[in-house]
Amino acid sequence: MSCLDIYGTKLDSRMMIGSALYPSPKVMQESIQASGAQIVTLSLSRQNPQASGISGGENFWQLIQSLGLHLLPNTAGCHSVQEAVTMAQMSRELFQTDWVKLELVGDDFNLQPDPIDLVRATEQLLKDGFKVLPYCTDDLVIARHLVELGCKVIMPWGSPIGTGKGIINPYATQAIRDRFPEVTMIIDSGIGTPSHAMQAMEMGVDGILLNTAIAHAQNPQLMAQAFKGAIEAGRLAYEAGPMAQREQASASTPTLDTPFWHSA
Amino acid sequence: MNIIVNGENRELSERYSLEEALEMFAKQSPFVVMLNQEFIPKSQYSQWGLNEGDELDIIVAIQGG
Repeated sequence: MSCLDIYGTKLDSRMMIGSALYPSPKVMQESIQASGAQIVTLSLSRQNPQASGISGGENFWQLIQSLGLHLLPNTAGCHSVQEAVTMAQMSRELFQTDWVKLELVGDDFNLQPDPIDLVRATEQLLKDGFKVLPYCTDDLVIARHLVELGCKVIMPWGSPIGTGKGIINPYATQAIRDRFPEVTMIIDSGIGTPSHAMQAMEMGVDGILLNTAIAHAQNPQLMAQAFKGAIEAGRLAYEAGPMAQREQASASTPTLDTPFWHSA
Repeated sequence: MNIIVNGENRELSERYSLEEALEMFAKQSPFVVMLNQEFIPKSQYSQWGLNEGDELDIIVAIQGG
């Protein structure tokens, strides 16, 4: 199976995994390990005022570091270009990476990315040396603007964050894939089940970013394994090339010279 | 002198440099700093002092999707 390419970094796993919403830090750690993902997403927040000492709130950071994965900080919660750019700059200093998962909320109703400010923020961040992974909708023209600015990775939604509805517009998703075959395309949100992930992978998408679907499963560790298998199977199926569908039945067992061939 | 640290009012007995304030208020590591809504890179900490009413935010890593 071919590798996932994130701005020149080649990875065996085609899954990115989030670090939020798990029932406990232990489940988070075990689920991330079970997923086989090599990239984990995380974010920034003001220090907890209840932190009692220098080690008081560091458990999360220590757990993440112990996993030894590539870090992909996001700009979750940002509603303007300036907020997103500032958060990206802070993430670069704190996490020591120039990767940023650029999220810029356009409407709180469905957390839909603001397509116009997303393009503006992407332009600023690319000029500032960031490797931008923009979270966008499945709009082909917005994707084209992002690619023309220099994005090597784009991350359209399957459906809104946390909905678990899967690929709600397969035509639009496939159109982006077909229009930009040279760009790494990750489905960033809305995947709810392994079958959704496999569907996307069979369409030729390069990878899947998962969080809620694993963290909110009854057994997150087991679901992480399920997604791992589905994503690998979907990719293998895409690379293998599926058969062409046809309307008429066609026997798979040769009928000539079967014992009852003369009665057919 | 009064400043606001992570949204909470704090009274300081004297004027602090940014580095002194961080030594007092930063409880988690690693962290980055915003002063009055602007990111202050670590390389610039020594250039900053705090003034009455300043808003100091200490930013740390958290879970994210």
